[in-house]
Amino acid sequence: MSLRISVDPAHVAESTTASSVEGPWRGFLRALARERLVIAGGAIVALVVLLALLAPVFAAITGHGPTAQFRDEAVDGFGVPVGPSASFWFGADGSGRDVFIRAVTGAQVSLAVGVPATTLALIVGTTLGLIAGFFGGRTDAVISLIVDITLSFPFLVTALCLVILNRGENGQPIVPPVAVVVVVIALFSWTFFARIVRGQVIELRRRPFIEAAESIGASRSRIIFREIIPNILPIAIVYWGVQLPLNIVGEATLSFLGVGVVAPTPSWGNMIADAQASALFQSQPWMLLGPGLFLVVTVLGFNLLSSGLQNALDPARSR
Amino acid sequence: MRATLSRTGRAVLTLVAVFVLTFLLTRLAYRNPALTLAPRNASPETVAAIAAQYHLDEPWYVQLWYYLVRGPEIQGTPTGLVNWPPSLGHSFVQSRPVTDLILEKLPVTASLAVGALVLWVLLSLLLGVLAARRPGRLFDAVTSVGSFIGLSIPTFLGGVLLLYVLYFQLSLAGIRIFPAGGYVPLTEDPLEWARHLALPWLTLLIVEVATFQRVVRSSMLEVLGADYIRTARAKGVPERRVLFDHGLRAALNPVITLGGLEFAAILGGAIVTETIFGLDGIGRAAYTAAVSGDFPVIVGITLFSAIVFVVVNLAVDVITRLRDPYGATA
Repeated sequence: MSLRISVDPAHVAESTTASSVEGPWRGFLRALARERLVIAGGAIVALVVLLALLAPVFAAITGHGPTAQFRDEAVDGFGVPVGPSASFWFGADGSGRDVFIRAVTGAQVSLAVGVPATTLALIVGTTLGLIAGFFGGRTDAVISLIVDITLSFPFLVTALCLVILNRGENGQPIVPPVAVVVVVIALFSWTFFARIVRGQVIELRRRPFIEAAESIGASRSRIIFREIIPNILPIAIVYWGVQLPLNIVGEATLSFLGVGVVAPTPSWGNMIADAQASALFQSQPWMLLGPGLFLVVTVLGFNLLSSGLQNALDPARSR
Repeated sequence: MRATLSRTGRAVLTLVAVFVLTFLLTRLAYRNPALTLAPRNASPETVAAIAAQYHLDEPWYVQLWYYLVRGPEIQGTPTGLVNWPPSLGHSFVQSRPVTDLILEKLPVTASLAVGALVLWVLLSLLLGVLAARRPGRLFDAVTSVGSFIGLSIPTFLGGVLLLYVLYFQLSLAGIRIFPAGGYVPLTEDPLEWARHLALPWLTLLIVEVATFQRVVRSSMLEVLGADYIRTARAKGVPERRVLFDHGLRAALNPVITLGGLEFAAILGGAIVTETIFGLDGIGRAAYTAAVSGDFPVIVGITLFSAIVFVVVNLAVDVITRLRDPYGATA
């Protein structure tokens, strides 16, 4: 399986802790302003978000809804869709739908799946990682075993099973398919946060300021909420940015294989699957290039942004 | 040694958990499997007979027992997991042991995984070392941009694009180097084998080289700052030997660790790549089984990929330990 919901050891190997001398946030923000990657990535991400938000506006301008079919004007007598034109900016697909409108609507779908899935993974992973790292011993062993088990599951087959599990008596989904995609992706990415946070917490616990808090009799909950969480939060948020593009790819892959976002809702994955299955992209390449370009640019933007954030968090990384 | 033993214990525990969870998940997911397996418009009696034949009407723990010990009463011999030789169940749809099915598909997936592994490791080592030689210079900048782009191309999109450019457009131009898909066994014709696997390998290479080149580079940079590298250079050891003998040897650990993870994932079923290029491998078999409700195959293949994952990780652990018995660079 080549889908990557896994850990990048190059990043994990270096345990990074925000400087606690001048507060965990200030140094981080200062380093942030210096990062060119953050600016470049941020600009791309902002553009994609803007396009996604403006999807209804584009639909109004062109008069094409994301699922509206224009078989007469956009598909010729042989069933071949038209290429890019003033009215169909990225051309049309085999059903005469506007590829550009579908691609920008796909941006909405992609973010609407990726962002909650990654956030859910962050919450679950950070909580479990914190518990494992803080309490250690048997608790740690059990949580680490759960991480091992999760990592041993094949992503796509499990996703397929969960999608089938969601089919009710008469073939109707029990919960919305998008919710299943969010859960599947979160299920396979929380381990990333758990591993990182666990390592961070173990390291933090040895730091003098935690020992000092312990020696003056601070309660466990005080240490966790006042000392540890503020120190791991910036790191967890940066890794949220690292995981988000992976999860966007995850959603697209599931949709490509027909187990993610289902038609007629446009998703970059199911649009590319459409283009490939009908082979129409051979005469109307924008059926493939439209959603493909959006997908690559979005993922690239988030990759640049999160890489810059990591550099800001750990200046030693960007040699 | 003790660490290895406790790791083995954990690995076994992981496998047991994966097995039980997959078993329960498939039983939950397919509410009426006999109906899926029966021919269309089958009478209720036929469906009931199929359910009885595969013990699908029994409670789950009885089904679990049948899976582990007996297998279905088809050939008269027990085909359960706990028998010797162990069997990963019996396919409902294809009426044959899942172990046979996996062994039949394994050469395809293994060719894909091993070939891609060799190519991506060699290429990333070369690119990573060259980039680390002069960090910040032109070559480093170019490979860095390249790996950002490579990382941003999902496997399925890369595969479809490669097919479009290297198969479709080249064929239009009259050049037929790459086939659209299919598989030729290595033992039959090594050249055709490589030709048929070239595009799938290339597909996997895009994202893997992008990842590993960065890993090699950052690991090399860490090593090149060490005192013994400066000593070697001061002694006048040729730069190529400094980089490849002294530097790379110490910088390999993260490559081995991550390489193991990726290799295991592909060997456990590269569903996307196998789908796009029509390779009849393990990932494809798992996908077909999941769609058709053939859940002994789903359980069997899930367990197989978990075993591959666990074994490869153990191997990585042992290799890392052998290379560095005192944990000096761990």
